[in-house]
Amino acid sequence: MATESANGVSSPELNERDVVITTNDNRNFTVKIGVARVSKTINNMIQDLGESLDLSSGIPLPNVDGPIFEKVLEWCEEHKNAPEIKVEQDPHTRERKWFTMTEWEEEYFRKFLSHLWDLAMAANYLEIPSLYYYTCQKLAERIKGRTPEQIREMFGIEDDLTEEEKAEIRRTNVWCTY
Amino acid sequence: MSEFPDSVLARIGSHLNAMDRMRLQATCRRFREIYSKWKDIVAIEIRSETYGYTENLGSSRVTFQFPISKVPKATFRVKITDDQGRVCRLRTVQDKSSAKALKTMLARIPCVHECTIWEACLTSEFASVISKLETIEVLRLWNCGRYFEKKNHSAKLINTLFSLPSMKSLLILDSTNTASAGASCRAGLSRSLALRIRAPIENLQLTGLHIPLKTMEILSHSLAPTLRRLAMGCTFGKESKRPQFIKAIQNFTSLNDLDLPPFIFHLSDLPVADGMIQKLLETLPLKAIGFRHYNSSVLFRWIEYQLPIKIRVLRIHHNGNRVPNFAQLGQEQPEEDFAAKKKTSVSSRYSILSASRSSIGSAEMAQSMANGSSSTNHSGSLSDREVTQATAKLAQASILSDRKDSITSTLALRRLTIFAIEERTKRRAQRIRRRNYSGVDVIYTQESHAGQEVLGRVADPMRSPHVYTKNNKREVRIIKGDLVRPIPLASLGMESDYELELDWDE
Repeated sequence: MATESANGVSSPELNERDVVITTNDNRNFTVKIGVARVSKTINNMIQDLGESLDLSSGIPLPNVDGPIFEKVLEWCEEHKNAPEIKVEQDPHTRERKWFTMTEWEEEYFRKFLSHLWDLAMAANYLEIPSLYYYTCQKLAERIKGRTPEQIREMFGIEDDLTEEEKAEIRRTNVWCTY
Repeated sequence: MSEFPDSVLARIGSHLNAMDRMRLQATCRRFREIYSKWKDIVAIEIRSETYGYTENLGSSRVTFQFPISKVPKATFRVKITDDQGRVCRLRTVQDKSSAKALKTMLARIPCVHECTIWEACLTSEFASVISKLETIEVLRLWNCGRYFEKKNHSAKLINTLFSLPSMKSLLILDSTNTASAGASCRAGLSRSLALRIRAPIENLQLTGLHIPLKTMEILSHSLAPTLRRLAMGCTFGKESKRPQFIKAIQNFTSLNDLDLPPFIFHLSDLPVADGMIQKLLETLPLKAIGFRHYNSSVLFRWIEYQLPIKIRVLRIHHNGNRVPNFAQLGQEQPEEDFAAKKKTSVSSRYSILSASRSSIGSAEMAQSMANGSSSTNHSGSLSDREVTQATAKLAQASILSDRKDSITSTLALRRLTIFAIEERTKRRAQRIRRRNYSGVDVIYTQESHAGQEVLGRVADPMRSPHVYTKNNKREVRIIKGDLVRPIPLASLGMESDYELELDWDE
């Protein structure tokens, strides 16, 4: 992150200023720059615009809608001072450590359980590593051990496989764990 | 679902195990495509398991009302490991499509680096799918002797395996008894197979295989610049072609680690290796060597005076009945005493023979001594001049000054580590003991699946107990225990640490 930022104002001061972000359903969100910067995508925009950044006219986000952005903002507010998360490995077993979530984070995902896919998409687009990794982990936790039918039902996936294709998949996936 | 970026789906997949991924594949077309390649899988281990009553049915006269397959049923078991070290074990549940399922599995893992095949469980029908796994760097063939026999139905597969282009380690490992049953072993590394190798292999282990000289020459030509470790785990070979073998090995100029079978190198009655071997050990950039153990006192003297100083690791493969007691390292008894002891244990009947043999032995010794010293002179002009000089100095120092102290200190200066690897025995549980004698680290261990890749295996040359027959029918003798080469009966009584309390009834 650059220490000297847009408008020639140093970073801590800039972080306290407000910026307007417009989502694709034309809703305007007034956000502290320090919070918005949790998203690498928004941070890059702020830096790229530099001198020409007009804080009042806002930054457009064509790929995110209002309700989801609201939820993302909640996360950003909580994580504005959090250090960047690292994908860690156990040095002995080389096994990746699963992220342990704080109580707040667990509660956050419980609240928005039905929006996990949207959150993953938004976090991916906005480049918020913490939200992205945690959401993917949550999704994986939900998929684990479920049958294809259950997965389809849970996430509202359309079954577009023909009977033949399903039979073929069954033939080639005749594995079980032992 | 269609608007979901692949990266998000891949990320979710990375948290899921194989079974979950396969279930996801069955949910919709998009997922079937996305989860059809598992790029995070880096290692696969394949075994098969036959079951059913087919074998019994073939020989029985009982007829059955219902149709029974004559083909033995087989399931495949695979163990896959992803790039984070997570392991997943799978087995096929339907016999009919188990081969197809395994083919699909192999096609699914395009980034696999390590492949382990057990008991020659794959047939040639897998050749084409294996040939696409060009990223394989480590190939382990465990107990796959069947692939190397002359009448081999999987020739196409083994050819494909040997011609994988990125291999760095080709490890042919063996834990079966057949491999140690020297002469009865039919598996051999043929010339044509050696010619298939096109990868720059660094680590080559050939356990339980007969290696013809021609093959060795091909290998020494094609792998000379890259090979760093060579383990010849075969214990039988043409001793008459020994010089040619050594000459071929001499070509591997980057070799750091070498395991030699007894027919090329063993210390029998003399604590001196012959000139060719000594030269080989001195000229190659070796840091570790392994060989088969025969006689403790000889071994200890060789380690003290003859072992090139650059060699830091020794692997001594020995039989359970013949554990070298490294506590005696550097505390050698005078040679006269030894000879006297031996004589007393020899029965009067063998004394004449043994005497005649010992005279031959001493002639041999003189010759090898001459060879050894000449090689030392030669190697002065070689690249390892300093090393040789240092060895000479050490030897001189140890002879000149007060014996015990100086030996202990020179041994300590070497910073040597010795692995004493005992042949697998059914009785004993695996254990490791670590000792330090005269400044030398000694680690006693046993053969094991886990250790073979590192420690290697140099099996004994004949099945024990071994029956000898002489021309005279009354001269049948059974020899039990660890013998590196067939020895005349006469010298049997001469071996002081040969244990007589063996169970002869077996």
